[in-house]
Amino acid sequence: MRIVIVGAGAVGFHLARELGVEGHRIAIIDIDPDKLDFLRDRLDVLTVQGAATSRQVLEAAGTADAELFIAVSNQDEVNMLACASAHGMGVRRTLARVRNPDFVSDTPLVDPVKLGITRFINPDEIAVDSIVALVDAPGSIDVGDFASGRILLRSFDLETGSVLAGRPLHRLKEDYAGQDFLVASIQRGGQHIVPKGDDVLTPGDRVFMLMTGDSLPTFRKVVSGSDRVQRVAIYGAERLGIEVAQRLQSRTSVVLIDEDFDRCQAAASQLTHVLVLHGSPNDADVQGQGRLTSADFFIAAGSNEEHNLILALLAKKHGARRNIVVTADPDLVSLLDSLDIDAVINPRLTMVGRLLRYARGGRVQSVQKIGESTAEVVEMVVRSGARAVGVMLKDLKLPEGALVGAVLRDDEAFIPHGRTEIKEGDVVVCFVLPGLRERLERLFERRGGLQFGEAPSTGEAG
Amino acid sequence: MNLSSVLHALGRLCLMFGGLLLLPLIVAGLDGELGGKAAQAFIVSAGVSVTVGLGLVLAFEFSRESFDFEEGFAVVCFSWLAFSALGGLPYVLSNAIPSVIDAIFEASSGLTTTGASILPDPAAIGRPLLFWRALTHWIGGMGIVALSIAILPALGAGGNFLFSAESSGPTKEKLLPRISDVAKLLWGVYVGLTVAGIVALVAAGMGSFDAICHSFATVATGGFGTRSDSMNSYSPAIQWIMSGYMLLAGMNFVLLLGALRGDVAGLLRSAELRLWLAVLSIAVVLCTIVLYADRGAPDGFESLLRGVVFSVVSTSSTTGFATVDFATWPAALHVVLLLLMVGGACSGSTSGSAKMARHIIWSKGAWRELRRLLRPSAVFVVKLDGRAVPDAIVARSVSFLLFYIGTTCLGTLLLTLLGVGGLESLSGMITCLSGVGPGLGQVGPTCNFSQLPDAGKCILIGAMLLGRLEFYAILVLFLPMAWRR
Repeated sequence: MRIVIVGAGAVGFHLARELGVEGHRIAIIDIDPDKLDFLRDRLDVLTVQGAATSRQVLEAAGTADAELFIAVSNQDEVNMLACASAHGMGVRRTLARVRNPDFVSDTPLVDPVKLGITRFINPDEIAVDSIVALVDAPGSIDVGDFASGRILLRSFDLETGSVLAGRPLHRLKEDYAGQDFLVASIQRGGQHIVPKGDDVLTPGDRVFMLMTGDSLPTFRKVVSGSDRVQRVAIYGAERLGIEVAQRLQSRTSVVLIDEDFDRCQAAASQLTHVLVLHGSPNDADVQGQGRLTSADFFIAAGSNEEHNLILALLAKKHGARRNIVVTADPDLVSLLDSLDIDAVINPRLTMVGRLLRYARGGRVQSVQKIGESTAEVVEMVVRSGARAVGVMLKDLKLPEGALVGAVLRDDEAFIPHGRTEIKEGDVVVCFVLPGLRERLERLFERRGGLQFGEAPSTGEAG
Repeated sequence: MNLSSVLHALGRLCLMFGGLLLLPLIVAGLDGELGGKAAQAFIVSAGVSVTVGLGLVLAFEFSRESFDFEEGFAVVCFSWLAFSALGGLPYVLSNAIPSVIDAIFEASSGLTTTGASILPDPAAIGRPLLFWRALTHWIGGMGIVALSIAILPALGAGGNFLFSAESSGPTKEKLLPRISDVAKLLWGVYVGLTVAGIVALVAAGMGSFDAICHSFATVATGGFGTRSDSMNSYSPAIQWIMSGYMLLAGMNFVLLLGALRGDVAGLLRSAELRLWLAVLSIAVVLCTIVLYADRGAPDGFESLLRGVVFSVVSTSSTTGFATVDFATWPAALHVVLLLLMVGGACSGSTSGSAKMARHIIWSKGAWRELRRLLRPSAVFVVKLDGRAVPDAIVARSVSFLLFYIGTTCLGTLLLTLLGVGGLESLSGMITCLSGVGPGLGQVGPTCNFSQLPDAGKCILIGAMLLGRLEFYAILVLFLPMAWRR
């Protein structure tokens, strides 16, 4: 389909790349010719230079024929107006990136639908969700929720001495019988492995587990012992930091630190149970007053990304148990694997993930990139007449590197086994290595075809 | 300071006050006493007021450009002084209160909604003067300047400032774009409450004249009654109604208006009101237990509880009506009553004293200083109803408390030096600063302030004005800075 994207920043770039790979025809509008030059050299897209609220520019981008219009420039007002204009030109679905809390709260100042905007997408909210989820599941990293939160994806780094280390997976299944979780993928030395029953977990592995919501407490115990998050330190009293503090303050003791007094003052006015400290988290006085050295989490969410990184490293050196860095700088992200950083939240990438989900519409319900985009988790609804309907998992010829991790049937989530029969209307959560998603879609979503494997008729007719 | 503008504005207010002085003639007319001494006194007083006003307006120029903070404070301060004097004129001229000091005491007690009286038997002064006593409460409750802003928008933008200098409470919000609209809105609530009070009291069996006077005195949290025994001789039903009425008069009028428009939750969410209701409940329980232990309930428990509730609400809302002689209560309850007087009711009401909002703010400020000792780098923000209170307001609330304590100490010392008893001096100062009315001991509910020396009465007049204008409007005029050009 034809897609118009407004804003050629990092979000626009990643969005265009991902959607381009899927075969869509994309036009990008930006006012900055340099950004467009950069884009044109790397992606096969149409670039249009100019204001996204100009008729001429919108027409040049082919807006009238587009099916989807995504405005992700860094100005809320431009995004909203551009979407409204595109809607006026006949685009059915429009998505606007909007950060202003007044517009994206539960009771928004303006109903997006009235402006002709299908949805407001708030990058902060998405990033806050990810951070809070990380804090809620200590020990585990990178999180995704599927089937409206009934199927969870958690990952953790296997430490030496863990009860899980050194045992083949089929043994673990026996040990935790009755618990619905499944090792869906193992990242070992930068490589994703889709595991089989006799694979053994070794310390240093990053393990990805799918589980139902009911099994989460057991999972937490296994991964992090019985520890509870008691103190969270957040650096950066800006929108993101304040939002995270707001969400966490009722559950755990939260310290918010910033060097700017006015920002501290503003944050303290909004928060009730948070200790707001004015100073640098490197200052021994501040560390003492905030008990930073015994914090369970140090979340670096300031506006200076290099500074975030350094503070997070120092905090961990001073005694904080885990650190989370918020950064959208791709150069930094690539550096992080070699550093002592437990988790990175990239608001732009999480936002791209969310946008892709909406862009793909109802077909693929949810896609989560894991790690450095070398594997994906895909959520799909099994259509009537699809090849997989009525077939047991073990008989379903899944491509190598793909795995059905969880099933949601009639509102009940479970981890399937080989004898599980796929039914129409099931929501399946699958792990796939790059390039295999299309083949999975053929299996679950299209009516019987002959694209790969044996013809469906032979097996059933025989 | 531009004295010319101040005096011009004062002249306008005097003209208006002259009009108010004619209102008791209606009562005199209804009673067929238009030729009486009281009626003549009011006509002459109004004449004096209008003459003074006209003289000031004609002699001095008003220039809006040079009307600044100093001028605003001066207008408020001088007008209250002038009205205390002019308001006392009818008492002197009608010979109801021959002493000038006593008359000024009575008038300023009325205007500041204190309700402390030097009259042993109010009923003896006649209905026109009784009505004037209640009317001074009613005018002073909302504020003379507020009234003038509502009906005479001539002061323009300066009015906003005047209005906030006169209205009560630690923070002042402008609710509507035009200050005259705000004044009209608040006066609307005020008049509405007054009418509702009159209807309720008449329905409960009070005479219509008494009902009008008591409504004026209650809605303004004043406390001048029409009988020498305050409210003791009225029926239990009337006493209960009055308790509820005084409670309403102690609430924030803006929130009250909101509740009338349907936002009852907004009223009940107010931290200030919640604190006040909690304080009242604790005081009622404490007083009931102590009184019951002290003397039992000879007239039945309802009578005991009615007396306690009435006294607690009356002192706490700074109204000052009495149904029982709480001066005879055990000493511990005297302390409770004095603390209630210092406590006050809610900001944005007509009640006097410090008000619950200030207590919340200064105590949170003090608590913050404690926490700062342990966490010097922490940024703590004092909040009221979930909203940040600027540090300047916190500091002003603390300094209000210090002014209050300092004035009380100084006044008590001076009164005792004049030979007034200790309990009378302390309770007299607190009751006048807070605008309650009756004190304890020889100035208790069954007694009056007439036996104090004249100098003592002057001190208390000063205390009443300081308390009503919440110190600042008067004290700033003692700064040399205010008088420089």
